[in-house]
Amino acid sequence: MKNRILCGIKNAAPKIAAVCAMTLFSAGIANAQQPTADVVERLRAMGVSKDMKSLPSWAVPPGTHLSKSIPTNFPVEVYRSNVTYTSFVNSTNGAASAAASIMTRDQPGVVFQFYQSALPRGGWATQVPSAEAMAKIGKQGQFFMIRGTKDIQSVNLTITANKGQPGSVISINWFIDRNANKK
Amino acid sequence: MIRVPKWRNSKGSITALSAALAGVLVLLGVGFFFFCLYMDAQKETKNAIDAGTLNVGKKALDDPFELIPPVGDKGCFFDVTSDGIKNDITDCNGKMNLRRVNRMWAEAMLFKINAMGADADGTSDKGDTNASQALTDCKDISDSLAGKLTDENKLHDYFTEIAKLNSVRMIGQSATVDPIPGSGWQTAQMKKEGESNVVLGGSSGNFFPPPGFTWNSNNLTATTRNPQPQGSSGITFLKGYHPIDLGGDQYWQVPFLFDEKPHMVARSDFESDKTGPSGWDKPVPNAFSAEGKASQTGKPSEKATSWVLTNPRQTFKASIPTGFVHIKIEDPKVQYFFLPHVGGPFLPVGFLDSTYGFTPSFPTVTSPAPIGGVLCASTTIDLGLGGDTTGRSVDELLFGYPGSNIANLEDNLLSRCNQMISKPGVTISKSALHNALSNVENIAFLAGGVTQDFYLYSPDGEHIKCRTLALAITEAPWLAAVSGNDPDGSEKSYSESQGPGAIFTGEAVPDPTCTVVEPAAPGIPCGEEIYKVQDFWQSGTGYNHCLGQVRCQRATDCYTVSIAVETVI
Repeated sequence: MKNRILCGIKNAAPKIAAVCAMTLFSAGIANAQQPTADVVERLRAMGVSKDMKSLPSWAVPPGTHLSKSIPTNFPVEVYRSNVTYTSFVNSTNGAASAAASIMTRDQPGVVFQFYQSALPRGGWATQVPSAEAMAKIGKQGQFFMIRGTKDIQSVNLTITANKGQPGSVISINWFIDRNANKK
Repeated sequence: MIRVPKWRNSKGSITALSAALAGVLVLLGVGFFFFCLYMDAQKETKNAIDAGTLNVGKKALDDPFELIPPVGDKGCFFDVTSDGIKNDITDCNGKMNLRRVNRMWAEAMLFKINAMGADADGTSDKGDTNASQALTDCKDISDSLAGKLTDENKLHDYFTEIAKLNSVRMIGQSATVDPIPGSGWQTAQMKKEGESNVVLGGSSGNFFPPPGFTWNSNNLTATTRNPQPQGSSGITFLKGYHPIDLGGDQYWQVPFLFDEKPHMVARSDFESDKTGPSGWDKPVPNAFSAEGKASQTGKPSEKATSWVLTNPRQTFKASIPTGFVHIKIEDPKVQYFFLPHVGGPFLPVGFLDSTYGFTPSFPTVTSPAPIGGVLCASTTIDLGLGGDTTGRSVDELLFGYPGSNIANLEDNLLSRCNQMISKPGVTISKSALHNALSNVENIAFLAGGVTQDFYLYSPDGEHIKCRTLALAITEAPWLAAVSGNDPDGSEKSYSESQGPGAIFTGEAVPDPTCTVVEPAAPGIPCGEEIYKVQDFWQSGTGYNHCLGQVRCQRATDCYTVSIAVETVI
């Protein structure tokens, strides 16, 4: 009897140890999903804010400045419907340029229609690729682009289907065209 | 009373007097008649000689000529062996004559000017050699032409074909007009410092020279005719019989005053200009004298000499009609940068580098530890590449976002494009250049992967186009034979420009006992694309038709930020 119990315990020990480890590991994961004070402290030491709205300079591509919100004076109307994420990057040296990025749950075609009227409303002269060019580009319904010019400003706006989840990624690249006044 | 001798009639005799007087009058009349005949004969002879000489002046514009082959030695000037200004190679017949000689000298000048511009840039390479060779070839052709124009035997027939049509019946019913070979047939170089029949594009202040070259105003002139003829206002001509010094080399033009007809000139004026301009050993003449006589066997003959200043009355623009610029859009490159540790910097992951195209692509890329991210075992990113190249024209690829300060490239292209234009009065503005480069048909070719090579050329001497070779040769067949020619200068690079691009999402796998904090959740962006553009310019003189080459290198740098922290349980 004693030998059977010992044998049973002996056989069960690895399984029990595994369950304990899994329990502890799961508890650790459960704890990690909520930033603990300790994690927050580690992030702060890195220069990363708790809500991840800013990154330290070493975590930003060189020659750029990053912020998670688009400035109110951005010269292109910002898409507001079903937005899940925004960011704004501007150059810090060389030519003045900036990129506003917006993720939305709306489909690319809906976003494209919005900007087809929003850009002219904002005084931009717009151009879109010809039907022949779009046929060559492919990705029908998943990719749209508009180019806009206003005085010496230019914008290139691309709308692509979000690969990871339903919706779109809008990228608005703005720059000062130094050759515009010579054209 | 006075005694009168018997032999004298007391009444006198008027008959004898009258007879004598009549005789004198008849003699006078006959003499006057013959004098008139003589004067009329002289006048007729002079008219015939004038007509013949004027015809010599006109015909000498086109024949004699020097023959230039389409390829090989001296072939660089074949494209100006035409009276047309439409850059139509089928118009070219290889004949270099007095009408066209200024076009040839002007084209040689442009080769030299382009070489001088490249010298200033430090990119001349073989350009100087080619420009020198072109000058040598130009001189050879010009000297040979001058020799033929001063050979009276080549002009006698032109004299006779018109002179004989004029009546010289005062000499005799069957009198003829023939040239008198010899010293009466000479040439001169008249109207020195007057304008040639070659104009520059643009206006004073900007003749669209290549960067690094400036026109010396002493080599240029407005029309020297007074009063100025209609249509000459604002036009800048090259000076004739004036040494145009370019980098120590002398170039020449023959004066043909704007819109002036060929006409007879006074002997004194002709004689005073028989000496050519100083420095031009064998100047091409623009004035001719001819001597002829009207005669009939058995009768006195008359001879005369006339002098004519010729003029084709056609204006050309200094141009390289079959010049082109090659534009090469290189395969865009993508590079990846990850953060390996706290404090950075971003490190490139060379083994992941690749290229992308001119349509959107959505690759998934994984970077493993130790460079996959801060305390990350790996980071996998979902990219959207091509935001900087998709749907972009050649103009946007060269000059578009992120924007680049390459005025030098623009000025070089503008200069070359204006050299392709042959029609006087037409200039290519920066707007026209960018419009040509914005040709939307090229977007489809790039997107379709058909070609990344394009050509800037003028199909008609007054417009420029940017097209693929296959389409360009339908308008400019000459391109087929020369499109493979490389520019004779060396390449220079312009500074690279960069600007923020699109964001991308990804997922990081933390190291054991670590927790990912950036990206905060799957589907949240974790990286930024940086678009880059760098252009390159390789100068060409145009000696082998290639006026230059532009290369455009687009690139996207993908910066991924993935951060994990150690978790204390």
